[in-house]
Amino acid sequence: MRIFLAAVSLVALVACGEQKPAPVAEVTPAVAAPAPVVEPSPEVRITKPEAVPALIAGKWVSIDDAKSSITLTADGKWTDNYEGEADANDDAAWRAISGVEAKAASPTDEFTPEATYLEVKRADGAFYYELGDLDAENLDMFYVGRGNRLAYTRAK
Amino acid sequence: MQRRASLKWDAARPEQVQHPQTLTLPADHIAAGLVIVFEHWGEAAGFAVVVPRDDGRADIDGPFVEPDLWRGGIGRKLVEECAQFAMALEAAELVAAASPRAEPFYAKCGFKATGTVDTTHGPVAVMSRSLT
Repeated sequence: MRIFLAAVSLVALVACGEQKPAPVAEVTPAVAAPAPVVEPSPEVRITKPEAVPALIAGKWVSIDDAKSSITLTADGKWTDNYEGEADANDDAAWRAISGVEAKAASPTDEFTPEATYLEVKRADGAFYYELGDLDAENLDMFYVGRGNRLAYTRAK
Repeated sequence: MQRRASLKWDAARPEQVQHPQTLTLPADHIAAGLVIVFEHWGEAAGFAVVVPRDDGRADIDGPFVEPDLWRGGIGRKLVEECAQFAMALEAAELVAAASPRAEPFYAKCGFKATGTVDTTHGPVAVMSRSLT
């Protein structure tokens, strides 16, 4: 998300920074120029909230730190583990919701209506993550508050 | 970050709001190069401070970690970095003033309770870890 936003900002800066008109090149085409090849834009894959529980259930190991893992159940339980230790008093509840539902739950945060979010409720409050990739092997999400990415692979 | 982490850690603790200076990082600690920062996704996600003492030991203040990244091992990594840094400063022990909620964390990091100390938040445990 942040990289994407940064890229957009950079493009915007470059565009805004172009003060002088570009020099006119002398072009005398002998033949018609070929049509520019348009790369297909990467397809945005959004997992609908109702599809998330079945896909996300299980144990996921952090890409950043293999000692860190999370275990999610399809019925909404989230457990953090570090080096195999789980704090039994620190379990959280999760649910998958649309951006519209997330905005209703946390009006001060920014959400994309058509995106899917994970709401994680802990004793110390609710956390919102925009869901990125979710398939049999990979899970990534972006913390709404700061845009940082959390990436996991399914535990073997 | 320290404010976010501290107030999230114990939102019911009014003393921290009454003593905001306890929630800020002293500039001279930064200037002296005593602050260890953990970056995640290109931004500071946690930090801890090592302050050498005259008695050959060193205090650790923190770690403070962004609340969304708690339970992921960043705090432990910061403590280990602090221990290495304190050893480089030739400190024999790393000493922490641990609130009741923080005691189990420090214990997991190898600290042992050695007494109590009075703070603006009331008496808290003193925990230390040998570096020799």
